[in-house]
Amino acid sequence: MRTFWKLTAISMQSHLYYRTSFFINLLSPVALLGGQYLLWAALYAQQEGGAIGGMERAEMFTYILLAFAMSNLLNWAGENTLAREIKTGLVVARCVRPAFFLTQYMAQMLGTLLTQGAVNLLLVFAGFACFGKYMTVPSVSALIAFVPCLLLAVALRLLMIDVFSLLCFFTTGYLGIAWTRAALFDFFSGAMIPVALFPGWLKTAACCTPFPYMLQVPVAVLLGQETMAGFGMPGIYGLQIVWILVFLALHVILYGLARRNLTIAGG
Amino acid sequence: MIEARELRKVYKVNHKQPGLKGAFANLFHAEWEQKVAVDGLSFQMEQGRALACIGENGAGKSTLIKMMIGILTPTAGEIRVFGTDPRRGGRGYLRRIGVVFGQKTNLWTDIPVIESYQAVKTLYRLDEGMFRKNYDRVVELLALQPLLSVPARKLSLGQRMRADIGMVFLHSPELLFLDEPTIGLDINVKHTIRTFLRQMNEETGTGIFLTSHDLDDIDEICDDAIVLSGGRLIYDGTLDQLKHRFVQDKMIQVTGKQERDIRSLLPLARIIMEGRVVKIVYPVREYSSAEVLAAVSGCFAIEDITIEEPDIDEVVSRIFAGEGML
Repeated sequence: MRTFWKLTAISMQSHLYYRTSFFINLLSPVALLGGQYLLWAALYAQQEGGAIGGMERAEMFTYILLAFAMSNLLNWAGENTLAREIKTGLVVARCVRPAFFLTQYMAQMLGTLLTQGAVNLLLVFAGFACFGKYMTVPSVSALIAFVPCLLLAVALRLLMIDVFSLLCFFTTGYLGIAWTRAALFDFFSGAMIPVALFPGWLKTAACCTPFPYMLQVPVAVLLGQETMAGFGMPGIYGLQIVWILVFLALHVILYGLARRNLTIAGG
Repeated sequence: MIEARELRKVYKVNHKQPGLKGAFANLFHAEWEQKVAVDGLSFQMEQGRALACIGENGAGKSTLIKMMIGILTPTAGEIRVFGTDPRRGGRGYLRRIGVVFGQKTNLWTDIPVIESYQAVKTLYRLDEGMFRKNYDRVVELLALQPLLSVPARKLSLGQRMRADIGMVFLHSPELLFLDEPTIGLDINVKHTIRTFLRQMNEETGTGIFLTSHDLDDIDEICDDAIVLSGGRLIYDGTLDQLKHRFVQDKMIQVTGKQERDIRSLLPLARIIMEGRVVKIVYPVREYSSAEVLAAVSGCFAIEDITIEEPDIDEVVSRIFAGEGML
């Protein structure tokens, strides 16, 4: 574990080293949150206070804030670190360090999201403190159920990014892979629009992918909404764990394949 | 220490047709071909030796290193380092070796160099005494003190390479793999790195496996050499033997008064007069050095004499110009 925490600390230190870049990366997505708020405010104004897709205004604004905080745990640069290293060949440095490849990756990503996570948590508290009366405040029991769900969601998302990044060993088009991953996540996880607003068939299709378990489901648990999976909490945790195991298996397969037919940039 | 037997690595590469038409055609029908990077390679390297791997671009040098450090799987054949398969050696194996790729850094780029060194201490589970001893040594020999507080991203190429080479010695590796470690560096940095590597090889017994296009690196650091061409081994032996087998001419430079015409004694030699200095270039197949020295001492009142050693540049250019297989 000393290795893991050392690598996590290095990752955090790397993010904090360049002050301007750190603050820009940290705060620029807040503009996106503002845009989402204005969009939904306009839509609810047209509904004259009525619900949209079964979600009341207060519930939606709470959802937007929480979904933003979870979705924004990793920025574009952070998510694509491994993919970039594979494309440039710098990944070879990871391969020769005496630590598991996945351990190094998870430690690095944890370092990235811990700093952003702390800021996002402050934003959520500030949001509830300032606008709590216009929002749905979670119950304590929901909060208790949410914490493990959040941790599993984060682990699942990191592994999903890892697997997509490993695909870069087999193609030179890492941006195409990164955009595909981002599009799938943003749409099916409920980061852009709550999955609850999808038409029935699309909701069912989304339910069969791992993406809602990275965002929509944990937020629904926190807000006390019916989760689209329709399972109780043990079932939800179980499904998240199953998806984690699927991605772990994919990691092992892809990493093994890469080592058999690997060409690293630069010889 | 290293033992390779019939080692072979074949890559599958996408063969694309030329031109726009070919680019479109490739979208719907990919043609794959097999590229043999390493072909039936067998060689050994003993503990503590410094072995150079010489070859043109694409000869299979980097692929060979990647198989030896365990990140690439051979298509066929067997490789054993310290008696085990590098792919199965895991973290224990990685703790016994060091790897430096000249075009890629092992440092964490966004934190000061000293922080990367501290990370090595944790990753390699070094005790404070061992770490401090190695740290002090590399900082002194590579003059790293001014670089320690600077992030690797802000270092020049030469500074970064010194820091990379220093880092790889912190865990006292038994065997070091160096892939083009001096590429793009200026002459002073090259000299510092070569001197350091040779010193560490001699003093600590660290084995060195080096690939380089800079033949001065090879000459100054290594004792033995293997030569690859098209993935195949065409020479395995000492560097001295390699030089002598491929050198056709040698040169003796004499300063002093000529008392007798040396041409009559060495009719097949080329004599170049440069004032009081006479250069005698002689074919090694016709004359031994002893014969030439005897002739020189009979013809000159010698003030100074220099025997030019064969140059590895010349050897390698002859090998790859196809002037003979070994």
